[in-house]
Amino acid sequence: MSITSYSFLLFAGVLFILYYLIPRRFQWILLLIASYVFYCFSGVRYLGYILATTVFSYIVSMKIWDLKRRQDARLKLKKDEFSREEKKAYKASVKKKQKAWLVAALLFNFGILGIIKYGNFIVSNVGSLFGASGDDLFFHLALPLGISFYTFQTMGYLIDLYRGEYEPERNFFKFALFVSYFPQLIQGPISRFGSLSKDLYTGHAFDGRQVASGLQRMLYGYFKKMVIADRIITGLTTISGDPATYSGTFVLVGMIFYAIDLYMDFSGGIDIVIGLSQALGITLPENFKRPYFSKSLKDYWHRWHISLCNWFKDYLFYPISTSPAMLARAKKMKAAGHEGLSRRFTVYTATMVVWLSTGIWHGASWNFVVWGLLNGFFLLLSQELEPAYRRFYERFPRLEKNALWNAFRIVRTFLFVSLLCMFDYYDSVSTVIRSFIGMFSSFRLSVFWDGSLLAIGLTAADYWILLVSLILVFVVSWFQEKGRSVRSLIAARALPVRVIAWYGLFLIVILFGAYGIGYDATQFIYNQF
Amino acid sequence: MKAKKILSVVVVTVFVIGTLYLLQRLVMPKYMDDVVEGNFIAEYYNEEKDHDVIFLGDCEVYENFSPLVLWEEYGINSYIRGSAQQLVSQSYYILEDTLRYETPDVVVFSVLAVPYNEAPRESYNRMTLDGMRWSLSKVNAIRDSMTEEESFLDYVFPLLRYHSRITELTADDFTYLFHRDLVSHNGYYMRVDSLPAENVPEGRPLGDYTIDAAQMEYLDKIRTLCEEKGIQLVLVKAPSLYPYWYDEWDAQITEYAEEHDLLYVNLLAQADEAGLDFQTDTYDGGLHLNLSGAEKLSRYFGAILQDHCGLESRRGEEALEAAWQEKTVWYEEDKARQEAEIAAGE
Amino acid sequence: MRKKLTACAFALTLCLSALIAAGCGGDSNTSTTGAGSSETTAAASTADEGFYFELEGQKLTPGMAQDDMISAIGETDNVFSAPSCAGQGTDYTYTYGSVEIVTVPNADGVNEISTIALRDDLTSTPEGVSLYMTTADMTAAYGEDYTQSGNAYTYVKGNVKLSFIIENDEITSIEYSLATA
Repeated sequence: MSITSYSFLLFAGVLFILYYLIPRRFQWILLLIASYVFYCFSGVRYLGYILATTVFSYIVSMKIWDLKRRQDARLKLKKDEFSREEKKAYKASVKKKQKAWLVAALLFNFGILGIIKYGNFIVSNVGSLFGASGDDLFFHLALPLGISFYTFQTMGYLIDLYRGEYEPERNFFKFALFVSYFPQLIQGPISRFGSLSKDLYTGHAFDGRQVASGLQRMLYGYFKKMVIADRIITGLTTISGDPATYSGTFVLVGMIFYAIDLYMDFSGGIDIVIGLSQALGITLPENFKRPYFSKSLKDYWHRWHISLCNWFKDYLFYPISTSPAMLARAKKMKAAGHEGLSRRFTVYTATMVVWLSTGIWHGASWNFVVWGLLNGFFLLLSQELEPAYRRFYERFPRLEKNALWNAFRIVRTFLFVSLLCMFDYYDSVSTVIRSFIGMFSSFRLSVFWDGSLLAIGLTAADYWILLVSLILVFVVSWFQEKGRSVRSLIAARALPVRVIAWYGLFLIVILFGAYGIGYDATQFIYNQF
Repeated sequence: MKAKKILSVVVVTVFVIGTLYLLQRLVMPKYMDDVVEGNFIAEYYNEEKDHDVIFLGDCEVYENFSPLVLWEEYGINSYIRGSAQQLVSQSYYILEDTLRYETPDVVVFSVLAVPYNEAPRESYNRMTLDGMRWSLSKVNAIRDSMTEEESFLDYVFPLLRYHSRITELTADDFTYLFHRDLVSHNGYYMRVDSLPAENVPEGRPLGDYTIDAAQMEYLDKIRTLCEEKGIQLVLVKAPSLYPYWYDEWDAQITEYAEEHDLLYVNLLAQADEAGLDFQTDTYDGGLHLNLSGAEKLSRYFGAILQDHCGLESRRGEEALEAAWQEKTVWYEEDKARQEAEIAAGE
Repeated sequence: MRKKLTACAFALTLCLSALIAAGCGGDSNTSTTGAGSSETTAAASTADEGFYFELEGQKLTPGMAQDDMISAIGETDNVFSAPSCAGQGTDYTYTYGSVEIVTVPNADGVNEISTIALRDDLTSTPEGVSLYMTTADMTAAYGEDYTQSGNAYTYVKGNVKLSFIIENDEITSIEYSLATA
């Protein structure tokens, strides 16, 4: 069920009405049922995967908790008998057992994800090493809906539990809802149990303001997705689908189109998901903070797909960089006199592992591996150049506040990020490199006025619609960047203004949305991640 | 205070519904400049509904029979309820729809679509179904003939289907926002130009000539409905050279007609008797008749109708005479306009 | 100085590793990328492998654009055009001697070959089968892997369907069409 389909709107509408009609204590049960119904729409045969993850993770969560509970009881009982060392040893032995359960759960769940998502990639690459043709080894497993999202969310939960950050959810069905809450299955965000669970399980009374605000956010999401992303993608697929014809300047055009498409599609979808949840009284974490206003790559990765970046930071970067083995090795380096190396060793290794994983998370292909590694590399590079930057700003102190200079930094970062994203939509690494070189070697400015841009599936009207819509999104983002909410600004105005603003946006989506027959209904880019 | 709130809710609701309605009318295709076929189904509702004969079918009825000739020569008051590639199921539901307004003596159904069984196409579906007024028949017609890509909601709110036309609006979309000009002559699509039939391909052999059972079922539903209402059903095959009409198909239709005691007229086989000349009487190389052909055919077929169905001439009925008088003027105007266009083109 | 050297060395290593990865991926990629692209490559490659008919030394297959067909085998005088009702495109029937080719508009309104039919036994399929031969001739050339419906025997290869109609052990029709149609 696509999020832009009539059936989704019908589904959400019916759920919404039922949600506020039934007694509040049953609301979470309705959400659980709705989530599973939603999941079944994507294919009943995938139900096994999410159930396996739910059941196994539940068992492990109970085990980890049980071990902790028994440990506490025993410690209390033997408070006077245990020496400090004995106590420590006992605690360590319990931790070891907990760890064993956690590792089992991680292996099991990431194993499923790995086989389904990366089996093809691994098998065919290993196969080609031995000279077998890829086709013989192909095994086709379609991706269950949202498998990356729910796997990551659930594993985060288990790791937090292991770290003793909170008590587990003992009600199996409530836990199942945490894993399967349907708006998140579509494309995240990846939530933390601590913040989501309260909202999921407690009842919510109908709050007109919250509901209106949620619906408004959904509408804005549909606008971004249907009017901008689903329109611009026509031009993008023409360019990326035929790199031989669309070389030179078109590569630049395609690069910018993709950056716009990806952001509008993904963040628009997140707006819909967060808005829908808000209308149900559930707060989901933000996933974007105007990433294209970033002044550096580092800044960008603090603003883009935030929940995923945080996941990697909390559950991969820190564990690696603070692991005893790593610290011991760094210490050794320091002792040997390599102070700089020692200081960098842990951070660099952790960073590259994180970025390799982020790359792989995005898709099973060399394109994403290279994309991830390049991101990591440039982040580290800019970190290395930090002292140079500092000296530069010391020399030109007024530059840091200079609007023009900052605009330059924003544009530079945008172009750089877009450039890296070329790995997303060209079919191979070699095509990316060829296209990238071609962008400079056969650049023709005339493409912009000789009518070539009207031959890639977009009409003059499409460009006008895109331009006006992008300006609208820019203005809204500008307000948000200044810490002001456009929704609150509108809500404070008189009724006619409010009606015109929201009904106007609704009409824009209805009239200018690229949906229905004649437009290929495109799936969310992040749907199957 | 409360009254003010209610008032504002009412005003907003009216404003929203009103603008949506206007926008919907604006973006819906007007079918006035070209593809006038899109207006045929809807035009029927403006008619005085007192017809002796209703024709049902696709282009093989609306391009080949002239109700004016039937009126002038035989005093038969007829109307053609046909549209482009009208599927058999759609013909059935349009018959149901017609019977909501009147019960004719005779229904003439063109059988080409029965064995031909073309896959539904969205553009044709819209021409046929958008024109129908809302009724259970329309609902069923939509559900039965929708393609996989279509959705029912798009028929309920055509704005959702045609929204992309907002960037392609023409002057016609504003001119015809609330009305349409008459485009057909009681459902007949007049063409006066001519293109001789040449190189018409023979039918290629088929692996299986059996007519699809589901198609026959709709034919049977049409027959049953006519029987229930005491309407005589006449089956015809129009004299179009293409698409090819196989003898094997003809035999099955003949058998069906005999079995149910229906009149089946294969006008393709009787084209010579009707006096048709495919060098002058077709406007598109043998697919459809032009005015000259349609008038010849109507004269020929009118006699059959009169003889077989016992239709009495209604000439002399004052109201009818007056209505047809008006129709004749428009018929002659249309003919003269087209002839002038052709002359200007030459 | 030493710091900078370390940084440079690290940067170089990373660059190299990225390039190596890129190099590895470059070649194998087209055949190995994930589910997304495999479908399209499969469709493209099978189109090449499907049945085709040869006329004047040119390969013709259903799905080929009408313009490409004409530029390959030239125009013919024997053309029949059948405009669809209500201006929804035109079907063309081209007759080249013993071969009849029908083109119909696709979803984008561009005419493509929908069927290629052999009209007499003056021509044969590239595999050597012509009209009025027998079932045995057909199976000798195309094997037993056909589906039968009525008198029609259909072989599918790639996205092309090759249908024979056999009456009284005599082939009366040979037709190529799109398998998806």
